[in-house]
Amino acid sequence: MNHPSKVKVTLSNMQIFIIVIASSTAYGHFVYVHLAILFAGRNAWISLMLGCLLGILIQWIHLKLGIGQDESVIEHAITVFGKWVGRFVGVVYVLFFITIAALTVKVVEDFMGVIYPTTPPGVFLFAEFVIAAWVVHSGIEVMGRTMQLLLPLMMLFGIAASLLSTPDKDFTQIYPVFNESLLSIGQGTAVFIAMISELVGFGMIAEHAKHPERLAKQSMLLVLVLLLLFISPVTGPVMVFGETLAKNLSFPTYTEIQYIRISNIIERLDIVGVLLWTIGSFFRIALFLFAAVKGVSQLVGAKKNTTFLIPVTLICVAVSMSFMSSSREELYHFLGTYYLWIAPVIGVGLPLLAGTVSRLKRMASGSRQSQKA
Amino acid sequence: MASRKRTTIKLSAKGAILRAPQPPSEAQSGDSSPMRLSERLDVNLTYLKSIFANASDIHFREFRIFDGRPAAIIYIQGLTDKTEIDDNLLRPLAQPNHAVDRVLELSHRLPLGVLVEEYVHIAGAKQVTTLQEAIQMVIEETNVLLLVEDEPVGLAVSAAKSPDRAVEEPNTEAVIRGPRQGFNENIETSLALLRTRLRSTAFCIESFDLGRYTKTTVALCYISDIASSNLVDEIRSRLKRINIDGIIDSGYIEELIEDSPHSPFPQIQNTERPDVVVSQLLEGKVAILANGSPFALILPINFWGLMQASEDYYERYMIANAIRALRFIFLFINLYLPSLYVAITTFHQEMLPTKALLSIAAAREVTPFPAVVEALIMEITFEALREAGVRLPKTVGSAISIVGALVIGQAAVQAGIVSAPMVIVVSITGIGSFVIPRYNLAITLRMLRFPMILLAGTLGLFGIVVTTLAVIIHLSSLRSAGIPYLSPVIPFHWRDMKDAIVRAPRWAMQQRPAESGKANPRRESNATRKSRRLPSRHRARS
Amino acid sequence: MNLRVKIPRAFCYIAVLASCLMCTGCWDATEIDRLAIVSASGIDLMPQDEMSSAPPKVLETLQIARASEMGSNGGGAPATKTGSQDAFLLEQATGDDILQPMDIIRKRLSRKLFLGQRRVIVLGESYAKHGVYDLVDEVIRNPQSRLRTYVVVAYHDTAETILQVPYALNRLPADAIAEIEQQGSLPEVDAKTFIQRMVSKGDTFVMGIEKIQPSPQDGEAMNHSFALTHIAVFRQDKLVGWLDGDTLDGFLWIYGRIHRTDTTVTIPGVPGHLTARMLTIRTKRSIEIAHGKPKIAIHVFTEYDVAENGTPANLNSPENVNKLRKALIEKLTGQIQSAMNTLQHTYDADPLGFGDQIDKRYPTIWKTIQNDWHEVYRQTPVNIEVDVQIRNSGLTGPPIRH
Repeated sequence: MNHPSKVKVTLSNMQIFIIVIASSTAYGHFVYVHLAILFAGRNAWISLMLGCLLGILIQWIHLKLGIGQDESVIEHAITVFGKWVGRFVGVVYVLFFITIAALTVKVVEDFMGVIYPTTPPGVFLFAEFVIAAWVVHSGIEVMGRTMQLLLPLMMLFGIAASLLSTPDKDFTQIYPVFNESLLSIGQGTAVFIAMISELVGFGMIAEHAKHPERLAKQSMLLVLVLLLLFISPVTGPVMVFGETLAKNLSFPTYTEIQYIRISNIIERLDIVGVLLWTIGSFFRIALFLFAAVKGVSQLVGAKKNTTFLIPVTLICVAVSMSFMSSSREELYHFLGTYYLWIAPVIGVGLPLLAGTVSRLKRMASGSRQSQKA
Repeated sequence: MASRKRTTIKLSAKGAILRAPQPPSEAQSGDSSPMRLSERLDVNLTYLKSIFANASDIHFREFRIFDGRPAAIIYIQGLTDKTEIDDNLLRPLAQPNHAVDRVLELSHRLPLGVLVEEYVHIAGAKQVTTLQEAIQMVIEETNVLLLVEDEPVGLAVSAAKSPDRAVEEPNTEAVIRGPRQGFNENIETSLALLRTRLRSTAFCIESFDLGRYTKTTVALCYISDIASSNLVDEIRSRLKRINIDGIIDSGYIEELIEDSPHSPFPQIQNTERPDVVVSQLLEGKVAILANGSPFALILPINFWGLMQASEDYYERYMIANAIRALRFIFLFINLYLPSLYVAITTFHQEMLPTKALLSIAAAREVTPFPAVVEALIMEITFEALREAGVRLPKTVGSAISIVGALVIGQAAVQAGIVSAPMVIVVSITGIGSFVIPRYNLAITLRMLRFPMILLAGTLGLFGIVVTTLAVIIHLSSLRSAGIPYLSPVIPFHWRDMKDAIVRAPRWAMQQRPAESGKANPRRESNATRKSRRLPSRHRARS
Repeated sequence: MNLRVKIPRAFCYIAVLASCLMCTGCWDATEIDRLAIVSASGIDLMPQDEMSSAPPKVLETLQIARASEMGSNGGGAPATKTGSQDAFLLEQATGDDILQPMDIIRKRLSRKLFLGQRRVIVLGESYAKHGVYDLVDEVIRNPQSRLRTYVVVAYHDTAETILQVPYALNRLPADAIAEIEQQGSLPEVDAKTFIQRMVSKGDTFVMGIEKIQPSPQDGEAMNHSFALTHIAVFRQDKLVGWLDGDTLDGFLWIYGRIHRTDTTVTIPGVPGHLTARMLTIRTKRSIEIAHGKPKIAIHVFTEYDVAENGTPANLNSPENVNKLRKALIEKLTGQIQSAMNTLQHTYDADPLGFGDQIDKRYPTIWKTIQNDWHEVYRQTPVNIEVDVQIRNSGLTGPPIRH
């Protein structure tokens, strides 16, 4: 623990998966579910299924092609593409991670702005980054443990919320299936593909796993878990509010939680929304901040993973502040259009390229060796 | 770990300042060559008298033994058993009626060895040859030192009788069902209480004398078959590194050997109950007892262990589980209720049912302060009442509690200074904090409540969530003697869940905790379900 | 390890402290005693002179709970008499849309207007006829307002009058309206359901609220009160008519989601009346496409207990029970018939969501007929099937009277 560079911290595969699930679930519920319902309406669940089906492939690319033996995504890129091109690819990754963290904070601010209209958004930015930086500083082990403690609780809350809203659900709202154009379903699928593409951050922590060789296989299970965690949020708002209304809502899952009533005692469980959202986005910021910080130190060749914590956090804060002026609509427009291209290109394209190049290289060297022989 | 090293260095630097030099330098460490006892009694006595010149409680009694040689005993008055000395040391030596024959028949003096063998009727006796040893025996071991003319050795006879109180029921950890013996300040009594419960050679007690001036006996106890040797070595080395003026209470040791001193959370459990220590030793943990303190230290521990009371294991498991559930509920109430009240009434009023909102609003109609301020005032008052209750002499205690309850509860509400719901919240929270079985954990949580209330008052639920996150991150990074503080829940060990949050029936707990009982994971047990059923089958047949 | 833990925590503490100092007591914190808790709001259309072409103005009435009157004095008894007008305060303002009058009220109040606990929105009949999209937008857009708020329309009345009426059993009249909605013999329509139906392929409805005048003869004896006696039927966002009496009952049978109601019938050839209490109801309303034409099928299954027998008929004989069943079936069928008739032909509205059902089951057909759905709806034949079961006849069999 005193020498992170010498003794590699190992986490159980379970913890690694928990970090990954925790980092994408709550945020996904609030942002991507909204986008998917916006695009695909009541067919969002089909988009989810398709997205997850492709997600298995994407995960395989991340874990089989994107990373090497005991190497992170960035290290692998450097070994495959050589010193300069590899570094450039690494910088792209790091920027991607920083953007994700900054975007997350921005979305949190917007959401909190709904509940706390007059509180300066800087407070939320500040609080989220301080906590995230602290956990990154404490190391991946502490991060894994924190999430392992909180994720089951959050899942419990989430499941409870979805069960409690069952009385309000009208299952027929899901019909008719498939009457929309395929394009809208495809757009919805693209949202989930972008979501899973972001998990390229997984490649930065995969080397900490106790059994990294099993990750690729187990990641199928991970995608399945994600599917299960998303199926209720994707269908819930449509069932409770009907398609038209669900499309109109900015935070459909949040409004669904708000609408829960437990026999006249408790109404408006906003608390659960704030809880899930704050903690979930914290997980996400923590993971991507960790990935970015580790990425920078690997690019520079520093011994400690957390050497560049403070500068990278400050950059994140700066990027996030630069988003601050844009409205939520602009942000969602960006997320719903450009980002749907950016995320897969970086999150799937680059690891795929790295994997292909390394295979080709290996084949070439193999044939050269056989020629020599 | 670095922190402990640093403390050690600091302390040893302090310890290096020696006292005013005395001609025969008192051997503090082994570097000055030991001075041997002289054959001449008067030389020895002069020397010792000069050493003990300012210790008026050390008595010198000179007498002649039966063969006519002058002799002396040196002892600490008050710490030695006078009748024991009179009956079994002075009397046989001074008037050995039956020994006259032997004196006549042998040369007129008996060597000390023979004297010990034949005339000293006390169990503990040890020969000392150096003056340093002699002084040590008198001061540190509270022995009686016997010096005889013409003998270059002294005899240290143990006749210690320290001021002691009876074995009483532990005050801080009362139980309804369970043993009622508690440790007391005398380490011998405390160890005896352990030994009566652990009659095995595997039960090891290692003693250390710690503290430059106090020379406190500290005992490290463990069961060698169960505790992992790594753990014992680690604790032993931590203990040995302690270099301090004095150890007044085991709390000193706790502070010097815990993993993260800058944490509000206790990482070492303290207990007054020998049964708790024994059960923890059986799980492969290590206990430390210090003379002068009725509190034993146990480590490693985890957070969940602090939520367990010894009674959980004496009562039927279903009842124990129900009570544990209650404790966890009150753990949350204790930590969150005031801040949730503040957050909901000042930020998220829409969450309350309309009627509750209206009655709270009606109650707050006349109160002058914001809810945060009100909460802080009430919480601080409550803490003051609690603290006063501890410090006050028992005779005035009830008066204070009446005044406190009346003034704060009734009058403040009636005067419209504080709203009634806030009084309810604070009282429930106050009661809740005493449901937690470990006082030190309860106090930590009470401490954390204040930043929580402040943040709830400024940021509402978001503030509470952020504080909770900070606490959880901190808890995840804590360790107790190298074992993660939140284990076995985080990192997750399914096997140990049987005794972390719930308590499984005893027959189901066949294995020791994974982290501390690594060396010998299986409990000795035939209390399986099958064997439990046997008697009933017999009964059915008969 | 020491350094690893110590620095960030110190940093964190400083941060927390700093943020505390920065903001104690400001931003979004509002003490609960600084709130004007709105329990109900009412919206009316200002009467407009014929000549002006400007859009009509809106009169907004807010019923604000007076917290000081809501508490209890020492013994736990309420501070004011239930049913008095002291428990609430009415504020009124006019403006162009929903929020403008509210802003005017806000400026005149010493306390912060708090909509988070608004339980009821009362619409004046004129406003409901004018169209309610403005309100709908406000309700979903405003994060403070809750979707569980009940929506009612004042029957032949203004919202203002309804909100002035104190209710004898509840301290706040808004609570009374909410509790009547929840008691289970009427459909419970909150803002979400109202809006959801409105934006669906069908139409929407809410309960109508009526002020009950004390009868002049009794003078003081009877209180002013209100009752939910009608159903307001909307076509898109505009009120088109009311259901009451038999049509209301018929509507409830088709709607199905009610928990208790009593039905009084006469058995042909037997003098006197019989009241039966409904225990369960299962309704299946479906719309089928047969030969390209839609056909509505309504199947109602109910279970009854006999609650009162004012006839000489002995209910121990299965024959008489059968007669009762037939009478009930007839009554229910008639009521359903008249309800469907009114909806299809008088109001031409689809509050039961048959259009939505076609869309769900036959999306392709819906696309072809959606433009002239109302034309189709008017001509759709209705097939009604009612099944009644008498579970038992109360505690006695034969009537006491011989």
